[in-house]
Amino acid sequence: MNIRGNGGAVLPTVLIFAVFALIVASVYTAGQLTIAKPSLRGPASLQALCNARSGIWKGLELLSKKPSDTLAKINTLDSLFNKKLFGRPTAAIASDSFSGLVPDDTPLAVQPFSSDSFGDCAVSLTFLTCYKVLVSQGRFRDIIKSAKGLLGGSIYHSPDSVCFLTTGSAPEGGGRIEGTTVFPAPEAALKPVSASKPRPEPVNKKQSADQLATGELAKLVAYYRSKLGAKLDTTIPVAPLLIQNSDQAAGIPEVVNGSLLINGSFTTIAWKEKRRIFVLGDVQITGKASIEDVEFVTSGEFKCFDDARLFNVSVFCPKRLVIGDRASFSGTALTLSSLLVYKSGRIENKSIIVAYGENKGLPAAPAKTPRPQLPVSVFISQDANVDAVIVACGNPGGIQTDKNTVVKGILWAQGAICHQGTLYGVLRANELVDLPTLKARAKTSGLPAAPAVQPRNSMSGSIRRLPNVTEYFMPFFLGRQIIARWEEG
Amino acid sequence: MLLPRIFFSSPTSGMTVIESLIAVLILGFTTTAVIGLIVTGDKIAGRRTNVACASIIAANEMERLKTFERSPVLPGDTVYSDTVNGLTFAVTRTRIRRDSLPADSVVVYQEFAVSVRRAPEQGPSVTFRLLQGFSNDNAPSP
Repeated sequence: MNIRGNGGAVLPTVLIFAVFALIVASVYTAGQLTIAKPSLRGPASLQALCNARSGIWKGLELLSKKPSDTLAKINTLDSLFNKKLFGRPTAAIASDSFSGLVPDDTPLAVQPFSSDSFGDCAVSLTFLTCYKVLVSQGRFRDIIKSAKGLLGGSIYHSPDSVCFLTTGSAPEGGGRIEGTTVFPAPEAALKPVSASKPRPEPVNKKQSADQLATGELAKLVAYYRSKLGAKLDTTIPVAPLLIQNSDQAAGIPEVVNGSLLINGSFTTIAWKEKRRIFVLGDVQITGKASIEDVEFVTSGEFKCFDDARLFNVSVFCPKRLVIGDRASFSGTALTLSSLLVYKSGRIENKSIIVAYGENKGLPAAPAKTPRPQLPVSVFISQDANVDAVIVACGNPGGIQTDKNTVVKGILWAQGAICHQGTLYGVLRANELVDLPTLKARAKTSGLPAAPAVQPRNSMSGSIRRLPNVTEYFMPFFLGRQIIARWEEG
Repeated sequence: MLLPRIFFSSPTSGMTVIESLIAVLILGFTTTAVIGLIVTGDKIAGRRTNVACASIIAANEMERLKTFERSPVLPGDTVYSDTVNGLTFAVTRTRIRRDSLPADSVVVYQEFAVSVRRAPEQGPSVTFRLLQGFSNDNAPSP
C-alpha cells in the first residue's frame, strides 16, 4: 500500500467538509426553527386570548337574552347550521336554551364566532357579592387562555345632576346642592327654587332605567343562603376560633364551625389569600390585622374595629356589618340587615356595600307596645369617611349620614335618606328627610299609619359634584349590567 | 483494452480523476443542500419576524377595539398601515355583521376579523377573530 500516493486523498477531505457543512447548515436551520417556534405559537396564543375575551361578551349576551319566539330565526347559510348533528355541540347548546348560564361554576361551551375555525371557549358564571363573575376559557389548537369579567351595574346620571328624588319636591332645610336636582314635580314646581339654586330637571326616560332588579338580588341571596345552608347541615357548632398571628390565619379551614375572632392586638396579622371562607357564626377583626383578597360568607355579624385593614375582600352576612374605630374596609359587601360605619371608620377604593333589609314588618296584631323598627338600614356617623357606592334597599332601605362625615361616591336608597354630612357624588333616594322626622318615624313605626300627606324633602347636608363619578360601579342588580373589571391570564 | 489502460495504467493517477468527479458531485449535492437549508433557515427567520411583528400589531388593534367599549363611536371597517421594527404592515379590520342581536339590548355585540399582512400583494400573515361588546347608548342607531 502506497500511503504517499495521491489516490484516495480528495474524497475523504471532500466528505469531511461536506458532512461538516451539512451539520453546520442543519444546526443553523434547526436553531432558526427553535427560535421561531415560540414566535409562531404567538398568534395561536393571541387567538386563544381573543376567544377568552369573546367568551365574556358572549356570556353577557346570553345573560341579557330574553325568551324568544318558538320559531327562532334559522340561517341555513350559517357555517354552524346543523353543527350539532355532525360536530361538537357548541353554540347550538347556548342558543337553544334561554340562557344556559347558571351561577354554579359549570362551564358552558359556546362558539363566539360565526366561523368555528378560530377555536371556541367555555364560559361559567358565579357570584362575588355585588358582582356577577363570568369566567371564560378560550381555546385555540392546544393553547388555553382565561379571562374573567366582573359584571357590575350602571345607572344613568348626567354630569351635572347630583340629586335624584322619586317623590316630593325640591329639598328644603338649608342644605347645599352644587348641581341639579331631579324630582318628579308638577310643572309649577319646575320653576327655580331660588335665584341661587339651579333649575331642576324633570325625570326622563333614561333616569327611570335605574330600577332595582329584585329578582336578580333574590337570586344572589338565595345563592349564598344555599351555600351556607349546605355547610350548616354538615357541621356541628364548636367554640369560636381565635386567630392571633399570620401563621394561624393561613391555616383557617374552609368552614369555621363557629365564630371567627381575628385579634391583631399582640402581633400584626397579615393574611393575603384568594379563597372563600364559610363562618357559621360572627366574624370579628380587631387590632393590627391586614386581610386581603379573602371572601367571607358568614351566618352572623361581621365587625372590624381598631386598626384592622381589609383590602379587596368580599363579605356576605345576614346580620349587621360594622366598621368602626379607625378600621378600613375595601371591597364588596352584602348585608341582609344593617351597615354601621362610625368613629373614623373608613370605606375605601370605590367599594360597593349593599344593605338589603329583609325586615318583614311587625305582625298585624302585635302586643300593646310594638317594638320600634330601625328607620334606616345604613348609618354613617362620627367622622366616618366613605369612598364607595352605598345601596340601601328592601325594608327599611334608608340611609343616615351624620354631621362631620364625608362620603365620596353614590348614595342610593330605596327609602328615605337623612343626609347631614358632605357628599361628593350622586344621591338617589325616594325622599330626603331631616333628623327629627326620622326619629319620629322610628318611634311611630309599627303603629297605625298616619294619614298620607304630600312628602316634603328636607336636607341639611351638602352635595357636590364628583368629576369621576362614572368610575363608581353599582351592584349588578342595579341599572344595566356592564363589565366593571377585567382580569386576564 | 483501451479503457483500462487509460484509467488504470497507473495505480494512482486514474483514481484521482474518478475521485475528483465524485468529489465534485458530492460538493454539488452538499452545496445545494446547504444552500437549501440556509434559505429555509432564513425563511423561517423572516417568517418569525413577520409573524411576531404582525402579532404585535394585531394585539395593538385588539386593544384598540377594547378601548371602543364605552366610546360614542362604533368602530367600522378600516385599512391602514403600521410599522414595527422598520417593517411596514397592512392592517385590515372587517366588521362581520351578526343577525342575532336583540333590538333592545343595552350592549351591541360585533364580531371583527383583523388581518395583518407584510405587503399588500402578499397573503395575510396573521388573521384573528374577536367578539367585542359596545354600549348601545353610544352606538349609532341601526
